[in-house]
Amino acid sequence: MPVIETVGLVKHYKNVHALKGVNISVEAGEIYGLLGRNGAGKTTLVKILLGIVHPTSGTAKLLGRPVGDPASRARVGFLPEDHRLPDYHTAETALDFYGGLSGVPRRDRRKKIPAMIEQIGLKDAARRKVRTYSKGMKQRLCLGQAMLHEPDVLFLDEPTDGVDPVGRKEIRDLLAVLKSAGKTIFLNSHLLSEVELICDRVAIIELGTLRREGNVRDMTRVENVYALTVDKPIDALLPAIQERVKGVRRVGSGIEVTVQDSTALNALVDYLRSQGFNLTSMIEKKQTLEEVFLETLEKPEAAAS
Amino acid sequence: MKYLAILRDSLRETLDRKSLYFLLVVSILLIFLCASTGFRELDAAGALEHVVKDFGTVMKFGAGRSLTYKYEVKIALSDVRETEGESARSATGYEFTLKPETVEEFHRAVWTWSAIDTGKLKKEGEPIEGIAADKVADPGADLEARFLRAKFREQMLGRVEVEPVEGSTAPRAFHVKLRTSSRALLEGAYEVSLLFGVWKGRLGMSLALFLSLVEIGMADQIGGFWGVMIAIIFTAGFVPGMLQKGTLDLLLAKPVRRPFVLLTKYVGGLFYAFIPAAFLIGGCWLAISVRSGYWNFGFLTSIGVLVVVFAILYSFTVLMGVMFRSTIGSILLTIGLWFFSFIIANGHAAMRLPEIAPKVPAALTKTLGVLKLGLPRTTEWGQISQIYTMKGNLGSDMDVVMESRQSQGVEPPAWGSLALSSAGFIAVMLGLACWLFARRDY
Repeated sequence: MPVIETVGLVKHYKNVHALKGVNISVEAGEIYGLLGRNGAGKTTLVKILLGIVHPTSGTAKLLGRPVGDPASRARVGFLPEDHRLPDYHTAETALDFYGGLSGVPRRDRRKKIPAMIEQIGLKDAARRKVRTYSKGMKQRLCLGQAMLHEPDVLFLDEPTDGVDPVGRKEIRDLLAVLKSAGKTIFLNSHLLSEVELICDRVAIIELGTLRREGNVRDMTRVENVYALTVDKPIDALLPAIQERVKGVRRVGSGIEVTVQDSTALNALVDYLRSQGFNLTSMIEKKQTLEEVFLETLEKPEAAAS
Repeated sequence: MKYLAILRDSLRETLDRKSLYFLLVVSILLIFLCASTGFRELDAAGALEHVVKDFGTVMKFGAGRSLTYKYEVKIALSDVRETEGESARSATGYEFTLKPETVEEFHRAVWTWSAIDTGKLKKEGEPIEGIAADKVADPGADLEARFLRAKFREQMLGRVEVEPVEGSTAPRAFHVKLRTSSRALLEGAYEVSLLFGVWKGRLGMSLALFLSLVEIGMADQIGGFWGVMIAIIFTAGFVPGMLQKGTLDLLLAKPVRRPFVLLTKYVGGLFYAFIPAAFLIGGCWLAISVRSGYWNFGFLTSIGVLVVVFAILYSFTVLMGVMFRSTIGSILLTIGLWFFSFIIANGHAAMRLPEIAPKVPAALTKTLGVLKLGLPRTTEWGQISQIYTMKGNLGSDMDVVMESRQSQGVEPPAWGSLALSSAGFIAVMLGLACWLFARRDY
């Protein structure tokens, strides 16, 4: 059973069609990334899933329950993008408050809160008012409140926003730990390199429509294109290589070839060796997620196909 | 448990407000002022001299028209002795003999009082029976005794017996028996000191009335107006603050039902009224009780009344907060409604006075009455607080005050209607607020 499932989800604001029939399905234990420009409908989708926004039509389920049912959010944690923790809280009281709202019994909170404060690195500021915190500290505290009740599903909207590179790495590591613990993570992020590093599957949404969805590895792989480097200058050999492959171009000190299949690739390698060249590296060519993203936005019809 | 977390959070938010501490500091100053007050019971003769001192002033109160006549009346007191009464309502008292020294002026005062009492004297300048340009007639022992009884009753609550001394002729002497449940009900029986004796003076009124005025001043004027006003100003931001993007997302993503979130937030906001109200009223009550020796538990009902008044207005503030998400807007609209309901309540009360009622179209009075039912009835809650405070000081003699008020056309608030319409107002405001909050996208 999918942990998150939407069918034909539509949301109209007064003059804006924020979602135009979105279907997604996220399985348990997946890290699912949602990509899109500002205003594409990412936040609306997350807010519908969390019951903050009501859908115009379509259905959405969270952990098997309709999203309007508060019980659907019992095992869910959420880190919003523009969060604003009430400034009269300290880290301790904020975690106590949100933990209480999530249904964590008081006795459990007493044990969990110090551990969580330690985990999010706010031990020294645990009793300081939130109004004295830096953006990064607030971000970590917000992440803490999302995780305190050990949810099965985490919605993270720009989790590394405002966090320094070291903190970002820590959050990535934390997400890896959560994934290994079988948690499902729904990630909204502009940092495509991070999404690429963390996510199992991604979806690209544009103007309220899901343009592309799939496995990260599959989406970024470019079939039958390889980058080769050899131990000697290869320019003189380019015409001969051209006759054996579908395409070749000079890239740095090596070449990038497009072949018919693996047989053609092996034949090329044999030829180079027969000409006295030793292969120093051979890498299957991949696109970055950013390239995939931009390509999808620029050529929607290609993405759809 | 979840909603308890919101309640605790509201308390935390309240305790974080600097304005709360401002209210508490002001309360401490007022409590200190009460604690610095001292009361000393004066001797019987001194107290009674004070009572009869103003017998020459004859007044008539009325809507829009009052009359005041002042005569140089001097009265001699003799054979003054303190007595013990036979029941709780007449537990203490005085017996003495009274004889007017300025006879003609005394007779003028008696005739004038009689003319006012019988409704014959309506405006100044009209002739008064018994008083001619060159001569003032003897009103007789009966009328003089009635006059004296009425004058004593103006200045004390309790039983008054005035009988002419047998065989005395004009100027007649009268034998007087005053019985009250407490010496505190007699004017001039106490000396009051302020700031631990820095200022001292004879209390120009009964101790019970003085304490009632102080307590009503604290509860109704300071707490009921300024306290509630400040509480509205500083709590109006609670709901718009909660509805801020980023704050609400964190809240609504939890497994909670929106109406309960709002209702709990509303209940939590009442802490802001309860804490300073309990502190101010409780502190003043303790200070006044210890210093005066009169433990007026009725005064403590003001705490509940203040919270109820705030609860009524705050329900509207919450609705405005949900509708407009603006703190300033909520404040202005709530204060506007409060002012409007005050005008309607007082207008309606005035229109029901016997002197005014015949001059006002019945439809208008009825319309205002219906309108009043749909508005916050804070004025009447204030009256409830006043009645209980006075009752605590006057005891069963409060019935006399109530009867006197009713005879002047001032009806006490009807409990059932007041409680029902206030609960209804709160329910409608919160119902609308919850409905809006539940169906809106954030």
